[in-house]
Amino acid sequence: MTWGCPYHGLVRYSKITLPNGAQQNYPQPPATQEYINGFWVGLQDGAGVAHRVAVPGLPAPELTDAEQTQATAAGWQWRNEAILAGGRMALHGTPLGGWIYIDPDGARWLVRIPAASETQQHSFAQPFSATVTLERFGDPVAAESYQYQVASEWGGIPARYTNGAGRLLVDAIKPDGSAAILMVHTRTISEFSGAINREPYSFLELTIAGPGAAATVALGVARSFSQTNRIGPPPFTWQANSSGLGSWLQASGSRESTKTLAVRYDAAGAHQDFELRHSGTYAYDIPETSGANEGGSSEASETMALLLNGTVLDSISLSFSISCQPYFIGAFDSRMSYAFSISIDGVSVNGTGDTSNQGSVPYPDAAKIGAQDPTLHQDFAANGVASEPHLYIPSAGIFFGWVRVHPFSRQVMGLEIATSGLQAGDRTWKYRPPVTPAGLAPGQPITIPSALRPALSGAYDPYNGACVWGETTSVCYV
Amino acid sequence: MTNEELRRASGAAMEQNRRNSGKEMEANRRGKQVVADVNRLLQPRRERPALPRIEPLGALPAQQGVASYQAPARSGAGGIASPLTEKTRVVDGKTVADGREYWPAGLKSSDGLFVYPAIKTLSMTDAEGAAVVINLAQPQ
Repeated sequence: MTWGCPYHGLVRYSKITLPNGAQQNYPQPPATQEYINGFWVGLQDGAGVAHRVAVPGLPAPELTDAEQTQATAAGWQWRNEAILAGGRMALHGTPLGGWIYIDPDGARWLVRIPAASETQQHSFAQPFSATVTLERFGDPVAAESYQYQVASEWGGIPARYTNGAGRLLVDAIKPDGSAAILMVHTRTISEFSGAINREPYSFLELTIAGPGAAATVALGVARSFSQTNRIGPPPFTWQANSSGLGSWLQASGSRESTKTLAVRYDAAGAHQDFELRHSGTYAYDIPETSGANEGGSSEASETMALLLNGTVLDSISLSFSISCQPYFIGAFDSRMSYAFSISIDGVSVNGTGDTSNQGSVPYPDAAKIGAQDPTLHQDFAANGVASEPHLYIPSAGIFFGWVRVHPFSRQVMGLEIATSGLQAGDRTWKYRPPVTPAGLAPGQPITIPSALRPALSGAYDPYNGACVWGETTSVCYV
Repeated sequence: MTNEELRRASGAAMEQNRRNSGKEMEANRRGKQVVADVNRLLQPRRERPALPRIEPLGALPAQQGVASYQAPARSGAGGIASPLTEKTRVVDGKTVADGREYWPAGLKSSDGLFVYPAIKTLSMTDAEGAAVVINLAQPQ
């Protein structure tokens, strides 16, 4: 006899689409909700998350020919595994608020760590400590619960950040529930669209072993701060202008920085790193402020790439060149005219400018902030680690753009390129096919003209590696 | 016999003769002889002997029957009186089943996360207070 929940597929607008094409009502897996500034806000990058749950060694159900015919006609899928869907980890439509651990005796335990909820902030000044509760699950005959205490330092967060606070997010779970990755991060919510942006600091790992009643539960560092944020030394130095007026940016060389955006588990249970890499070569000889009496020129060629376990799966190119000449030199003020050319992922803009309109000559933000204070680890993540990773080319009065990583969901993330013209509403958003735990998703880039950053969603199916992205509403596989 | 007597007898005989002729004519008109002649041709009905007549004795007064009933020995192979009621006991103020056993593995859902408890043994009591044990097969 086969029994259970045979309904699996993509849920959109609280309806599931079955393999036979039929649709029926199904609870939309909810994202975690947080009360922010008087409103309940759904943390939408969790709405499309799906974690696989599998009992080790459980065989697939055997159906007779007649049973298989019936199941196919009805759209049923009798699987020997399940999915925890959405930020609240819903199983068969019911949010659990935790994951399931299958111990060596085959008993199932619901694992909850309230302190690891992303709705809570923790000071980096003290180590993280929490209570892990294992509650017997799925067997109504027995009811038992056990609590275990765990603690860990944050992963070597530098002293300059320890006055701050961050959050945790259960971001990956092994199918048997014996381990989970907790991302230490800070978070901002886009003022444009409500899209959530997370800045990883480090990654912790919780492990569970042995029978639930007498388990070994431990918390440790999976990726330290320095492993998560590998910032290459800036090849830039500030030099005094030979005329003594203003300051110059003179630099040449290359630079590469890599940030780990997620740590997951592959099919064998090993760690799988998802990373953003920014690399570039620079030749700068240009005044930083309008106080110089000499002209100059600069060139930069950069790449933003997404990597899965060290393999580049998607990348875009950026190039920037500028030349400037002073046309007015005063005792306390100088003005310069400049001509520039910018290209981002094949979109090019050429133009001219004048420092009488713009206080300084523009150049890629990475070069500028890297030169100003390398100890702040300011790189393609503008203003340091406490902001979403992106490359920002400041406005030249005609054009600006940025490249960042857009989370359709925590498991579906791709490069987002925003370019803008003169008008505030004249903005175009380009979304490239994202990277999932299974690799680069199929599809063509999506371009959306919009004054505000679009809120696009996506979902990943850990059962077969399928993915949807670019959706305008929450979607999730169950 | 005197002449008067002879004359009276002769008169009576003639009267009787006339009566018999009248009856014969009536019978001929009714056709009874024909019917009798036809019936004699049929198989004659067998005469059933009459049962001896028994005089009624009169109504008996109402009375209660008396019998000596010997209950059969309780060997277990005998009948079970419906209904069967599961034995219970009180634990911490709650009434729970007493003597119920489950198959250890139960019936697992296809994903292995849920177990539907499969009863192995039920300890019941029948309407006569006799113990009845029901053993159920292990589900596949």
